[in-house]
Amino acid sequence: MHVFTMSIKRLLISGLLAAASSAVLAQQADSTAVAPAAVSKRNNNDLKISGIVKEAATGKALPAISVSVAGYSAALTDDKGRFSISVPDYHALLIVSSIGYQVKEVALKGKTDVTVALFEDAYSSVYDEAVMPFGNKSRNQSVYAAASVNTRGTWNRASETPDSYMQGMFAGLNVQRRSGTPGIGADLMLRGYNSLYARNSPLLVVDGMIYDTDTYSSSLISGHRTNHLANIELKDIDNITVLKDGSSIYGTRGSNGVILITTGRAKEEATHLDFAAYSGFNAKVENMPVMNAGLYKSYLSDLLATQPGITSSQIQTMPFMSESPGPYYYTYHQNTNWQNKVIDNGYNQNYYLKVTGGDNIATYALSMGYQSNDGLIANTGLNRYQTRFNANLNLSPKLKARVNLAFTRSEQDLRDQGSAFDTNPMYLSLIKAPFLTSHEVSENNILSPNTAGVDLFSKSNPYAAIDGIQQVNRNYRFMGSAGFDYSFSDAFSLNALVGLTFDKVRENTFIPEIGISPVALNTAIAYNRPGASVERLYSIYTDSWVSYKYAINSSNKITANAGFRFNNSKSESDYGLAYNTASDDFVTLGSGESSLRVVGGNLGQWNWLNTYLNVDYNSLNKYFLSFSIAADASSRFGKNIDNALTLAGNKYAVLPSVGAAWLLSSEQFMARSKAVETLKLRLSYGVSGNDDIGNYNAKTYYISQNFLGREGLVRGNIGNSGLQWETVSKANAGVDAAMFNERLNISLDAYQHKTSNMLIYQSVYAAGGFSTALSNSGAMKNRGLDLSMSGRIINKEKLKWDLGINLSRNRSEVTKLPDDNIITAYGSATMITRVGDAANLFYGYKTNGVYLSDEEAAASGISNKLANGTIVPLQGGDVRFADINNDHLIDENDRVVIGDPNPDFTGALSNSFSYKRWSLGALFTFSSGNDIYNGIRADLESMSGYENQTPAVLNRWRADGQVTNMPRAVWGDPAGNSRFSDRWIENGSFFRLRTVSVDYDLPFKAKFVKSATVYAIANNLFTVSKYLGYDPEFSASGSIFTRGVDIGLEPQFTSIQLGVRVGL
Amino acid sequence: MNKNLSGLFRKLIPVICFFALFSSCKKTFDIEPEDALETKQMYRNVYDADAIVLGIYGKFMSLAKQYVLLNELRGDLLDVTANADAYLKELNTNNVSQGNIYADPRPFYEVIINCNDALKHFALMHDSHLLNDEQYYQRSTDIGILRSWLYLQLGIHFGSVPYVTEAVEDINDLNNTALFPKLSFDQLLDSLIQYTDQIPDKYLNQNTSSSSPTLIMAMDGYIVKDGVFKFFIHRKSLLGDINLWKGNYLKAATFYKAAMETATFLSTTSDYQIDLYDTYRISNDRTGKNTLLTNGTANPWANIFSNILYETETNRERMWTLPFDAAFAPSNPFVDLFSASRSYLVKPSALSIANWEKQERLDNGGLNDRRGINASYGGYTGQPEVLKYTRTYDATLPYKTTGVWILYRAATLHLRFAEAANRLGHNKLASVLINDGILTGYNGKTSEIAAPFDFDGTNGTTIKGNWYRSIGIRGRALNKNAVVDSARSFDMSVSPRVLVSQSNLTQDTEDLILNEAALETGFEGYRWPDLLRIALRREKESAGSGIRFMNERMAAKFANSTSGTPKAFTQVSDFYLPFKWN
Repeated sequence: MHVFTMSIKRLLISGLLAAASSAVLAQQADSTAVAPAAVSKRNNNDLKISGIVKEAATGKALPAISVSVAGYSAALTDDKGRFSISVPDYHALLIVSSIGYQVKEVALKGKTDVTVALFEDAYSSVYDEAVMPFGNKSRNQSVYAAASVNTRGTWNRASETPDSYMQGMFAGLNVQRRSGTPGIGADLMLRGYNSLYARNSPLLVVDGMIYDTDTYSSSLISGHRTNHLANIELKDIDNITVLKDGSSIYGTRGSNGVILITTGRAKEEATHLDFAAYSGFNAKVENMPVMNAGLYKSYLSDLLATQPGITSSQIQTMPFMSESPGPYYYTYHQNTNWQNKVIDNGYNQNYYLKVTGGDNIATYALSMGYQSNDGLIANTGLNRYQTRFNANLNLSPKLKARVNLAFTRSEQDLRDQGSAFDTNPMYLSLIKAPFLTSHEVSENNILSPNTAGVDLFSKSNPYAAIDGIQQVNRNYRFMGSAGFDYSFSDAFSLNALVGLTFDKVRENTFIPEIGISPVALNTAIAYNRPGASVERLYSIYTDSWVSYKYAINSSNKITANAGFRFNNSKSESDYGLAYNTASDDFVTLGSGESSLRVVGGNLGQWNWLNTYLNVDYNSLNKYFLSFSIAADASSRFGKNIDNALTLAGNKYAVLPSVGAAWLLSSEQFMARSKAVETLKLRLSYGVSGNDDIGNYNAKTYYISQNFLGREGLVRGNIGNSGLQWETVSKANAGVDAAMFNERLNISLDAYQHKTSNMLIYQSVYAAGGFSTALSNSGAMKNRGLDLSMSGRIINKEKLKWDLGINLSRNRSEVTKLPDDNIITAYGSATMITRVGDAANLFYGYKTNGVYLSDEEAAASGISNKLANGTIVPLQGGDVRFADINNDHLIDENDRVVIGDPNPDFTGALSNSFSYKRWSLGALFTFSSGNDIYNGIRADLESMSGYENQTPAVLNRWRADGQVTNMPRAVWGDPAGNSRFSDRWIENGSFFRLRTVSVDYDLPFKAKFVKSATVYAIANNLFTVSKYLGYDPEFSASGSIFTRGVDIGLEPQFTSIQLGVRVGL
Repeated sequence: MNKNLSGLFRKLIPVICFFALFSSCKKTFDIEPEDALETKQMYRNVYDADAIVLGIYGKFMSLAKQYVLLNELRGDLLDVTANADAYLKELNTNNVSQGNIYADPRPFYEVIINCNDALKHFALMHDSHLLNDEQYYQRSTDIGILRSWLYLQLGIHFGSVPYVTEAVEDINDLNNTALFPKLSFDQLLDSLIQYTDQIPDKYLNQNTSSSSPTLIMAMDGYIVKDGVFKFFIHRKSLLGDINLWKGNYLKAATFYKAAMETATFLSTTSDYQIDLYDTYRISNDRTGKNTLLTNGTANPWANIFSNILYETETNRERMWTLPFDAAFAPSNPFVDLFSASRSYLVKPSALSIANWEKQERLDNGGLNDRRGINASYGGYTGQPEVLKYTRTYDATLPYKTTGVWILYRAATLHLRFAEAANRLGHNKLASVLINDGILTGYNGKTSEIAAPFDFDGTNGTTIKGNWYRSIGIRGRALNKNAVVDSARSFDMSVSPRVLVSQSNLTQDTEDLILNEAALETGFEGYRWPDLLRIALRREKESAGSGIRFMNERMAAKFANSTSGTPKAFTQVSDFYLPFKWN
């Protein structure tokens, strides 16, 4: 033990440990532990070089900076910044590092005197360490397209979840926030989507454990998804590394790339305590324009007149039209701004405490946090409690252990969003008649405390939707793991990680009778509705591997890792729905009418085995080769897969990858180039897989089918014993360069992904007895470019300005389908997926204004063919749909592609200024060239029912000859004017000021306070967009078949926070 | 301490090895689903076999709507209302386009694929003694005959169809075209006859609760007797039907007769009430209680369609019924289809109403509704409604939709027997059965003595023939006998008259039977098949006559209808719908 402690101390002095500012993973500790042996060899030859280390911003010499040649020698700079060090030859690689400064690699290229300029450690540099599956690696030496961010605490990004935090951080990672609901997170898509029906989000690995973010049941609350990634507190995260390729080491889970997340551990033994508190304000969004009571009334009387069999005198006697006083006069003569009733300003709070410390045997990091965040919809909000304990244990000189324990609990009040037309308060607030109000009104216009009931149009009361409805989502996740590293020798070590995930989501809902429209069930009318659901995930994960290091000679080294991962997961979901409790005060399932109860759920279990081998070869620190291969078995795979490796009757997916990099700038011929500091060319090709093919789809199975009350069994599918993983091959070519002494860093990647064996619900001919069967019969490809540039624009001692740009372009193309095309529908939109195009293009009708008159409509010779086949002649004021096939009938054969929800470019612009003790960060995100179907506007301009509409309908066609783009108002829309057409397709491009933060380091000189910083943070300050809906950024579900369809989710809103962080 | 912990680590090595071992085990990668059953978890005992049978019938029930629409709307008795969509309108005029949702064979194949699966595995279970002979044959006969019923329907509507009889279990089976032989309607009938011929005779009787106590048992308020028992397909009647379609008239008549004589050979059991003189014989039991006999003050005939399932007298008529219970899925599709207070998509055609209006009563005066207005249909102002499906439905109780789907009944049986007999020259017997029955028609035994055309209607004081109560289809409805125009077939100038044209007599009698079917069984799902069968038969006799027959029928339907123009049939293949492969 003593020897070990000594070596640690020496290392501390040399400052090497500080270089590892991110997680202290075992492998790193290993490499540092090797150092003393190397130091003793320093005098084997007489080759020496010297140099000077300066600060990049000021040019002043830096003392006590560590300079070393890995495994050979080490030195410190003197007070003039000079150093002198033994080198094995004049082409060695120097590593320069120190606390507070970046790490830098310097290739000598024959020079004997070098000048090194160091930036501060926060500077984003090509030498930053990336956390790789088998230990940390300088990004400069990586052969794969990997990007890494050391978060440095993210103190200026309170209340974000890890997924939304990643927005704009990585080129190629498209982060699309799902909605404005607190904690709802974002959909992650790395370099486009590689699959139609299987998972498209990257694999998440947290501290070595696969982090399951899938949901195993749909929420009872419309439009909601439980975001499991929110269970990781952002401030706990030290490093995020995105592996865009080379992910075949994760076998059939790596096809969408891998995101490695490392949570914080103690960086030193001394006890540190950080406490942060934030509090802020959530501003409600601007109201959507809708008609007021007067306009609505006149619109409604026009519309009602088109109802068959209604006379104008009947309209005039309707209670809202009648001007004669009566007991209900005031009930129908209000002017209510319903949006103000359901959308609310809110508050947010966030507290976080982190303690780190320990001794030479054990170090620990303990964090605890609490946050509350109000949602945009009144009476909604999130409360979350979180705690994490990470410890490193030096059990013996050879044996080290790591423990990670995390527990998070959330409770969130929610309301229906999206297509829940009777209960979604935001939707109801838009369409509800403005002449009504939220409470009952007396004959004398006195508002009663009683909530108004369902109105005479059978529309729910939006106020009842926020006040009477109860919808709660409670979620907790425990994740714990223990890892052991045992070093047999300097070369050999054995590593093991065993972990457990337990996750539970419980939802309770109650829809009251008062104020909410009843729903018709098969056997009764449901007035009020309790519901409850539980979703559980239980997962065991192990990863065991041996590491081997071998130096062929001083300049050729091999490292290899071989091992296996095993994952057993069980999921369960159960739900119960009940109807018609005795009154709205009985809200439990048990109080519903017994004959109407519905229960259901499902169970799943799957096993996954991933065996892998990885060999890295480094020659002269400038040629790098990496080879990986994985062989996966899974309980999901079929037993009759052609051409697959078979062992003991199980089929294995064999997935290799190879990558090479050439650090061009370390070559002698680049020695004279002053501009180019580093230049690296990368080339990689690999195959990985996607195992998200369903737990049991390879089997032929039977499901229950009732015959009256007896349960029988019928076939549930046509099995596919050849069902296999999707295969994605990835080719990548990239350049990493650092210019002008790292003032400008550029990374550019071009890639092509080809998915084969893509899962398709293939249509089966009628005599097959099923409409579809699952098969691996599709293919698609993705091509794209990722560009990331960063640089320091201003580099003065007191003023620094860093600018970063990420730009991604991805084009995807479906290349093979078993059927002609796939038509899908979501909301009221229809989409087409066909060979030769990107998946999920909007597929609808083209329009060209409206017919000016009945004569013009008749003259066109075109009629409408409705979905049920009825042919309806057109009239003046009907939309002029394009008759694409010239058959004089507007029907589904006239549909064409009218939009593409996939953006041409996405990216971000990040700025960070620092001036003395002030710093300012501003992140802009943008998306360009994507189309959105504005489903809400389609509802608000369809002019076919009692729904209130936008003022745009005032411009509707009313008389022959009127030139307008807004069709006539007609009850029930018999001409299908509001059908899915390019009228509702809008440009979804946007440019947004995503986050701004200003912080000020207080010049504090108290005894116990080490530091204190004050933060001001603002999110979503402004968005530049032509989109007419609330917000162009949303994602209704993870499926690509719902992309770009705006069904009305809670929009993003502006929030501001003030916070303080105190370090003790 | 460190040493101990290293020891701990050493203990961990076996754990890791255990995982390695565990993961190489085959079972690890073969996990049984917990909310579905794999094939290997199925077919282990008779209960599994029962579950399969129940599942198939559960699925079968979802065909009701399509079955009635295909068979009636294509015929001449049912017409569309203004609410009907284009698909129904197409069906109505027989101008059916590809993609019409009602002309989709897939729902039938969804049941067939389950039948095939069941038949394959029942045989395997039998081979491995998991089912004894009785258990095996009862179940496989039932499912095999049900599958034949489904194929007969497919043949009727689509002409040539793939005759799939092997289980389709894996997606690769779909590529095996040998599993999907496409047969013409005629070949299909041959195959169906070939298949049903190999069923042992003893299993052609209905399955009983004593043979299959685990399958036929009371459920959800439905008792076995005349309830659950009759949920299963009536076997002999279907065999009769297949042979009738094929033109094997003697064989058909033999099967029908066996069904008509059910009471001669069987007696009341816990499965069904059997009354020697009444069951399936269209009788008047002379007790004054017979609830189906129309008299001067009551027209209880319509109770066939509304009585509760186990009502005794009604069950002398009902042979195969399935209940649509409001408490269980699938919900009753008929209420929505036919009720004027609901979607009301189809209504009686003007032709069918006019046909009922033409009925001549046996009595003078009394009730004027017979089987027409207020019985088969309701004559609501401007909205005539098919009452056979909505009699128990009350618009003020929209959720009380419990009803019954009658798939076969004695009148159908008698009409079909008459059709076969007529084709074999037993013209009188045929008309006696549809008119006023054996007793009146023959006053004793039939003149035809060869089975199956021998009926004993002896009504002695002590000796009663089994058929003495039979009063015929028109007799039961108190309708005057329908007669052919003798002048077309007989030389009337001599006495006794001499038959000069057997073919005219046969054809005229066939027309009588067809018209009687319209009056008696209209809207029940037999009309298009009846028309088609006769059209095909006549076309075979004399090219063009069948086409003409069908065109005339359709012209008559649309003579007083504004709902479209019927398709002009020019060849036999025009009778069939396009088969939607995908």
